[in-house]
Amino acid sequence: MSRIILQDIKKSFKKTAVLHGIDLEIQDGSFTVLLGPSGCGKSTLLRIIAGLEKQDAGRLIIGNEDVSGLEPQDRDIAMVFQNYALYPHMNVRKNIEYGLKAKRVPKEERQQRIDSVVKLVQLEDQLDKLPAQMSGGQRQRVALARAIVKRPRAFLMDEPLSNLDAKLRSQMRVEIASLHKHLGTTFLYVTHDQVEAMSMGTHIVVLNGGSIMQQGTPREIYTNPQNLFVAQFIGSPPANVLKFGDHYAAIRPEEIYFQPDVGRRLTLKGEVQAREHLGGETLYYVMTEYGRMVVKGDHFWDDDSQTVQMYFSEQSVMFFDQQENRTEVQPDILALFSHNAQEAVS
Amino acid sequence: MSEIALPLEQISVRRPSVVKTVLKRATPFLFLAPALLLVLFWVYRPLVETFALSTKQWNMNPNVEPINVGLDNFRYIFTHPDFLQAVLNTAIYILAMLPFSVIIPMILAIVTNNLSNRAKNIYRALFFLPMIMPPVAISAVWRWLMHPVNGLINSILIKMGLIEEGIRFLSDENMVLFSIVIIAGWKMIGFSTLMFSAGLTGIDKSYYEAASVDGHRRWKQTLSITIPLLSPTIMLMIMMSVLMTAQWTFAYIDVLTQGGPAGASTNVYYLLWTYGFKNFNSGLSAAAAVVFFIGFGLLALLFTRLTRKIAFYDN
Repeated sequence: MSRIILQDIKKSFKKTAVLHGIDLEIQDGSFTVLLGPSGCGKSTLLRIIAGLEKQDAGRLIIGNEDVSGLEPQDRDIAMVFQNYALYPHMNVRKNIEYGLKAKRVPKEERQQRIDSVVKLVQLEDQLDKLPAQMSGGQRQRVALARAIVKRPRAFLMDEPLSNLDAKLRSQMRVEIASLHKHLGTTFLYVTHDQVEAMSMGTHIVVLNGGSIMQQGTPREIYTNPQNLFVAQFIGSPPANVLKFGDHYAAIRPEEIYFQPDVGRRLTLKGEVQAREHLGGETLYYVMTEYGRMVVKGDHFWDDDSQTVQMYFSEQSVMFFDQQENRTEVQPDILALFSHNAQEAVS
Repeated sequence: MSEIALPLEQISVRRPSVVKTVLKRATPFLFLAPALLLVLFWVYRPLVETFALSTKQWNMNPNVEPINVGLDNFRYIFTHPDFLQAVLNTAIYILAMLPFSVIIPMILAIVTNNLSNRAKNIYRALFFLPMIMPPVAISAVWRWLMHPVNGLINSILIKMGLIEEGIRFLSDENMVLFSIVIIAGWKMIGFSTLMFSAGLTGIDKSYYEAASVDGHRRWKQTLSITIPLLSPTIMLMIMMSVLMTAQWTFAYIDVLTQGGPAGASTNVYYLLWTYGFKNFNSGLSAAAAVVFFIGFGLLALLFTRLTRKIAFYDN
């Protein structure tokens, strides 16, 4: 169990800079998710922490030890790879045992640890199988078991669920999150899927273009995005962004309603261009005089009215300045919506 | 179950014509035909003729009719010491060749695999160079290198004080076979290294990353990951080496020693060639060929079985 501290980590491949000086403290025992679109440098950062890539500059501390110059063998961490990287010629038992052999764990203890870990990931009856004889979900569990059995200082996971089908993925999300609770070790998890980040992480670090955009708890990231990128990256669908002069206003699709209510003092009129029925809810694509907006609402299967009135609260509107950073409430923009509200009433 | 009412009399069944069906079935064979005909003419026809010739006596004079001698040729072969010596020599050739076709190339490929692309390509070009040189030219150079009096190897060894007088590499009956192996092996290293390098590029890098994170140093990774995953290439090269060493050494035997001294460097192919094209006893030559065909065929069968058992294929 260890915290991980990154100080001004920089990395370029040839002439392309992928990490522009990352400063980050990953708390001991946290489930920290590195979240960002592809190419944002999140995997590179993870591989630098593992020691599989060498940083160009910066310090890396795991626990109380500066590991900046150490080989992966000496960092006492475990990693789960996107393609699992199970040794194809070794059966499940040998795959799990391989890391323990390097640590020179005595045979009896190896046996004991393997037995308890396969119970944990429910692979007791699969020990003699080769990876090729197993399903994707089972391989995933072997990869997890191989990491857990080493009792490392930290677990690094590089998009471990991206090769699974949707149903299995949501099942494994729950399992990995409960595994973290059970083990209490630091988890560092890389993903581009914000659902994984929101549902599993205790901390989220949003990366874009090799820089940290925001870090915080899932709640902070969702309710209080510090910049336009985070507002537009988090949430499904992401926040609606309307441009007013040199400011932006953003409203989450789930905070817009078609019925007036106490507190929903703002309103906007629009034309429904398309509907996506998702079963439990419906996405409405609405064109307004300020731009297109998405509204997440209840399903009205039979309702096909074209003109709609949308209602939302003043607190639900987030403002960003020209540099796309979060800024204070802009009353003149809010006034545009309340003006509409009066119109709607009259 | 719901039933769909179909007005049956309105449904007509259409089938393709017989000619069309036949043409369609024949198409793949037509595509294969040129290659098949060539193989039939150049491989299987001579094979059948060899089997037929092995029971005859014939000096290859077109005006002379071959005489039927039954199994006499085979009797001669199995009772003649030449044949036994050639088979024994071939076995030694095969064993002595394995370091050059498997062990050294595998080490070279593994050692050069982690170099930068440029260095890797330079090394591989150097290893491969002997492969594209004609055997007769190679023989000429090695004959000079191995000359007992003026040869470079001997003069270096003498200057270093390791030996008193020159080693007769190609005329000492205890040396000659190994001298031939060194020459043929030197040529084979390049090809084998290339095969092993290709095998190495087929191994996913992430296995090594996982092994590094698992705490294993590079040499341990080589033993526990590289070599098991190279097993198909290893088995292929062993099989090729066993089946083809007699062919690979043929040219050097012919140019440098003619099988001598006293048959010390002959092998099975050189022997059957001697029977046919020096003694003009084509029946005997064909009989030897039949024996070797069956012998090597059995070996090949054994190896394919063994490969299926031992080699691990990572799909």
